[in-house]
Order: sequence, then C-alpha cells, then structure tokens
Amino acid sequence: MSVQSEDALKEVGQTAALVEDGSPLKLGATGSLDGKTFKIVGRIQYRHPVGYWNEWYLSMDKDQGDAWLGEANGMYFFTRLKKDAKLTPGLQITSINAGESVEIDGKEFFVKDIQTTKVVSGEGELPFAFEGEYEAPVVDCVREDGTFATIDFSETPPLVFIGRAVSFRELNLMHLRSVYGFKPADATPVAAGAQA
Amino acid sequence: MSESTGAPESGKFRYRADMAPPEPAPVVAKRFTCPNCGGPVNLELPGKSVTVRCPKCSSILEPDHEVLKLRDKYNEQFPYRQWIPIGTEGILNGIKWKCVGMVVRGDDDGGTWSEYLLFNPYHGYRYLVESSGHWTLVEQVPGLGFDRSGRPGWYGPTGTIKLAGKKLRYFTHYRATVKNIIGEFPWQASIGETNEVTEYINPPYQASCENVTQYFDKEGRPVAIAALIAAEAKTSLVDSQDDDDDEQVDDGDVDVDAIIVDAIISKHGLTKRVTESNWSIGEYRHPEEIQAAFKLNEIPEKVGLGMCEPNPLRARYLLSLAITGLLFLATCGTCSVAAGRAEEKVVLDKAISLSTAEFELKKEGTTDYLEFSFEPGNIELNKETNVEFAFESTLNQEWISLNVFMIDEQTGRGFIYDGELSYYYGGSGEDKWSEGGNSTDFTTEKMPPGQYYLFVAGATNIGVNEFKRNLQVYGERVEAPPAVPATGPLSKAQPGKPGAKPITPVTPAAKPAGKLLPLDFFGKAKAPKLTLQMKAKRDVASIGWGVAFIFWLFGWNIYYYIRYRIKEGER
Repeated sequence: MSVQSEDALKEVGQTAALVEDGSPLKLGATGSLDGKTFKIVGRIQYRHPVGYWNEWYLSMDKDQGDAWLGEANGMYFFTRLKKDAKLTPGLQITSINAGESVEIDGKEFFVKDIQTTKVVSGEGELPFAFEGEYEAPVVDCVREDGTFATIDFSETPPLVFIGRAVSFRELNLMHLRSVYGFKPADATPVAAGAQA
Repeated sequence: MSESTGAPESGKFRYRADMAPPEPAPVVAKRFTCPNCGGPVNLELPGKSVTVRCPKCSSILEPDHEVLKLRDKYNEQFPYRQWIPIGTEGILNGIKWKCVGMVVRGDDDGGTWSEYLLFNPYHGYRYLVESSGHWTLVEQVPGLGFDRSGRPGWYGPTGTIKLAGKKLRYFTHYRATVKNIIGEFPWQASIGETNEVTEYINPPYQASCENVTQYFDKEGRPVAIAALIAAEAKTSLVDSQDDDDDEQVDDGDVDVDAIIVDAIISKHGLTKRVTESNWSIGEYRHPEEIQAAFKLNEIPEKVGLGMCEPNPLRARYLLSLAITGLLFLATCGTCSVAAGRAEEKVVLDKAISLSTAEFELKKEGTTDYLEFSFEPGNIELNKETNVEFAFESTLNQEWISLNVFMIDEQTGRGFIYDGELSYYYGGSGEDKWSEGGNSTDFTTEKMPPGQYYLFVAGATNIGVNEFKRNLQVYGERVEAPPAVPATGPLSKAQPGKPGAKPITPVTPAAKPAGKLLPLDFFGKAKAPKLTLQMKAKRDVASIGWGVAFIFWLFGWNIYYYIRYRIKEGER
C-alpha cells in the first residue's frame, strides 16, 4: 500500500479490510451543503462497541479545502478540523460525564456522548496515514444553537472537529449506493413515487 | 476532479485515490441457521444489525462473521400482537420505511407499549411507537435538550426544555423495561433491560431523554459489569438468573441487587459515569395514517388521549378563548363608546323661595291647602336624554306635591311629571316615628333635544294657617292671572310616590281666576323653600349589560377550560 507525502506517493502499512457496514455512501459520491459542493474522496471506518461509524473525507469544490462527513445509521455530521483549538485545561476523557460542559475556544459545549472507538480501516485519499487498528476515544459535544464538536483523544493534544448535524436532505447527495433492497430513489419523496 | 483537490497540508499522508477498492458488491439480506433450533434466520440488515431473534425458537442471536452466535437461549413463541409485521414496508411523508424489529416495553405500573423499528438506509432508523392505539413517530435527535438555564435537561421534572427548535414541558419520568423483542436491531438488545426515561410533551410533539451509564475500571477502560456480577455470583454462590451476562457494554441498569453492584464497584474500584444522553423527538400520527401507510387490515382501538395527541378540547378551549378575547374587546369598545356618550350635565340648579310664587287657598273636605305655581326657567337639552329631577326642601309635619310641566318650545309638545315631598314624625322614645323625607327625585324617560319651558304647579300645606290669617287681615288681591303654559299633548305622567297624605291632583288648566294671592304672603322667613336641580343624563345601561356579557363569556371560557383539563388528565 502506498501513500503520498508532499505530492510523492509514500508506502504505508497494510490496514484491515473495510467491513461491509451497509453505508449508502461511497467514494465518488457528491453533494452540496449550504450551496457548497463537495465530493467524497476518502473514508475512515470506526468500530463502536456496537456497529460501525464512518468519517467520509470530503474535498470541497472551488478550493474550499477539506471537511468530514460523519455518518452512521442515517445520522450525518458535517465537521471541519479546527486547528489549535483551545480546550478546557486538563480535560481528560476518563473523567467526563455526558451533560457536563467543555470549553472549546472559549465557547461552552455540552457533552452528548463518550465513546471508545477503534479506527479499523480506511480507503481513498486521507490527510494522514495510519498503520493497523488504533483506539480513538471520542467525545461528542453540542451547543444549544446546534453546533457540534468532536474531540478525538487519539492524539495529543486532542483533535477538534467543529460543525453541525445535518439531515440527509440537506446534503443533496448523489451517486449513492443501493443497499438492502433500497435504491437511492427511495431516499427522496418525489423520486420514491417515480421509482415504483 | 484532480486528486489534489482539497489537498491537505503538505507533509501529510494520504491514500492514493487509485487504491480505492472497486464498487463493493450490493449488500442484501443474508440467510443463517439458528444455532439453537437449526431453523432458518433471515438477517435483513447484515452489517447493521447486531441482534436478531430466531423466528422459530425466539433465541436471541448475534451475527459473528459468517455465522450467528447464540446470546440468549429461548424456546418460546413471541406472545405479543404485531400490528405491523416484520418486513412490512410503508411510506410515511413520502419516504419508504421497512419494519425490521419490534420492542415491547413496559413501565413499573404494568403498562406496556410497542416500538416498531423502521429502517431506510439513507434516513436511518425511526421508532413507530404504539401505545393504547395511539401512534408516535420517533426520531433520534443529534443534539441535547436544553432547559431554561441553558444547560442540558436532566433527570426529573425540569420544567420546560428546548429540543430541535421546539419547546416542550416535562410530562413524566419512569423506568422502562424491555418485555420482549422480535426482529433485528442495531444494538445489543436483550429482554429485561431497563432504562430511565424522561418524557416531555408539546402536542403533537413529544421528546424523551434516556441516559446511558457505564462502569469504568481504574485505567478508565469500560467494564462489562454484568460479566463481573456473573463471576461474583459464581464465586459467592449467589444464584443469578441473568442469562445476558456476556454483554460487552452494559447500560448499568441491569435488574440485579444494588448491593451486589455496590460490592463489585468497591471491589474492582470502578467508577460509574453517564456516557450518553440520548434524546429523541416524536410526532403524533393518526391511526388512519399508519393503517394506510403500511396497508394494515387492522389497527388497535384508540383508548383515552395519547401522550402527545393534540387535545381536541384544547382547540375548542383556545377558540373559545379567542372568541372571548374578541368579544371582550368588542364589548369594551362598545361600552367605552357608550360611556363616552354617557354624560351627566346639570341643566338647571335653582333654589326657589316660594314667597315669589302665587298661592291660592283650596279646600278638600276638611283639609285646607295651598296651590301654587312658578316658572323655574328654561332648559336646553342638546341631545336626546333622560332628565333627573331632584327636589329638596325643609319640611316639618308638612308636604309638597309637585307637577312639573316641560313644554318643547318649538313643537309645543308637553311632558308632565309629578313628585311629592313629605315629612312627618311623632312619638318619643320607643314609639318615635318618622315618615317621608326632605328630598325626592325622579327621572324622565328619554326627552328629545330642544328648548323646554318649565312650569311647576304644586300644592302644599306649608303656611296654610298663616295664609288663612293673612287673608282675613289683608283680603284677596286680584291680579291678572299668570301665563298658563301652552298645554300640548301630555306624553306621559310619571306617577308620584304614594304619599302619607292624600294628594289632590293639580291641574293648571283648572286653575280658577279671581281668588288670588295676598300681596305679602307670610314674609320671607316663613316661605317654604325648594331646591330644584335638573340633570340631563345619557343612559348608560348598556355598560351594565356589557359587564354581564363579559362575565358570561368568562363563565363560558372556564367551562371549556375545565373540559380541556379533564381531557388532559386522560393522558
């Protein structure tokens, strides 16, 4: 397996094969959120204690940089990496409870859930490399205005992704997979009628 | 699109796009064999479902690579009615959903309800909850419910919360226990699992919060406490009925002795933490809609009022409130206009000394009395109005009766009203009595606007003896008779109060000429005095009716409110 560094492909270690998790998204799918179009170019697959979670790596059109689309069981989160985010000093995943507050860049967020996930596999383009499975303790936080943040404790200092939860409709996704006997046309009311 | 689109910072790694695997094979339902009974088990959603129940023996199974693993062994039939059978497809709000599972849960009071798990790969999972024939479509919410203080709502009655842009009020808090399951689930479902649920409502919406607690060891690693309990049970020979001991993650609310849990916590140095706060929002669905969506032959009968069913009496109450509001404003408006038009204006205020009046001695049987007349002046009524007359005098075993003539100077139309004053008293101590008073008043009917000439003809016993004596001393004085008022048609005479003494009706037309007054009738000191005040009054009776009407409106409202509250009690 090879991975590029500084525009030169560089070999990275072998990762486990992706698990078929029935996600309706795939590499090459496109969409737009708030008028900004994007293409899915990469994917990281996480394993929860139960089930799987994908972080789809998005390339935003018109040089708008990159973003992530978290996806599991029909829930979607659009986030972007917030570099050098200032967290509550001394924040540790082992002492947080859901409902407690966390400060990110001076803004108060509230913990929604704490998960010890494992990164199991990846595909496509990714902004970093990984070798084998690794643990990613993750804390999801929200604000009353709907702002969503993920704090990933697999690195020190933790990585902070900020964005919001979005509905399937808002994403205007195209080039989706057909799964479990459902076709992409079953995703939208209008097409569902035409599909029959 | 070039590979470098959205390129990360240089120095970072990335997979080559050409390493992307080819289009994966379509994911479809898989057939398995039940490790308990050997019967076929269909897994509709491989890759998603982590729990599936054998349709034949009801064992709870777990997909593990290419086989099904036995988690909880059962040999029974699913005892609950499935109104929406597993595998049924339906269209709600234009989106196709497939029913893949059903959970029957119950509270500690013995109530049970069904939660049908609906699936669409693009939109995820929904719960269609059926309780007493009422249906609610529930969706998990990515956010948290926030209370008034701007913090996440927690256990217990926290008043109102805001979730997904909706404000809901606390409704109830209870412990829900999984009674039974059928179908397949994306979580490790087991029978007997309990959860603390807090419900909020704002019909047709409903929100609920279920928090997940988890135990961690000293290194901060999640611990499956059920396994520890099972181990403990074996070593201490405590009989454990729990079959679901091999759960990887436990919600911390397993139905075991709290003492055992406490012992294990202290023994292993565990910490209990709330790791998830799961909020969902539901919307009431009419049974007919569900029946049509899933093409069901039968649906359960509705009982009572659904938890988030819009109260039909609420709409009626609000309508009555709105109508009351409008009518209240209208009534207030009308009343204020009426009150604005209502007025009280003194049109005449005169103290009259009857010494200037003309008197004539009359005899009725053995009773002597004096007739007199005077002209208080003219009054002007600007609008159609009632006129209140008020007479006052100082009486001492005396009476005065009065006939007031009001003659419209333009039309000649006349009105006559009468009133009477008398004051008598006697006795002493216990037997003391008095009758009548020194004032009287009466109100005319509505008088048309105009200039009115007033003429008062009266009779009295005041000074009758002095008058008689003066007559003997001075004799009569003959003068030209006073101008007799032009008598138009008398529209109405207001009856005077029945007096203590018989009153002789006085008719100015019958006034005889010839027997005229003494020139110097009993002097100023003895002259009876009369104060006459006339007020033009606009009728304000409509305000009284307005107030009564408003009270009636409020009563009507209270009635609807009580009915609404009674219905609310059925939730």
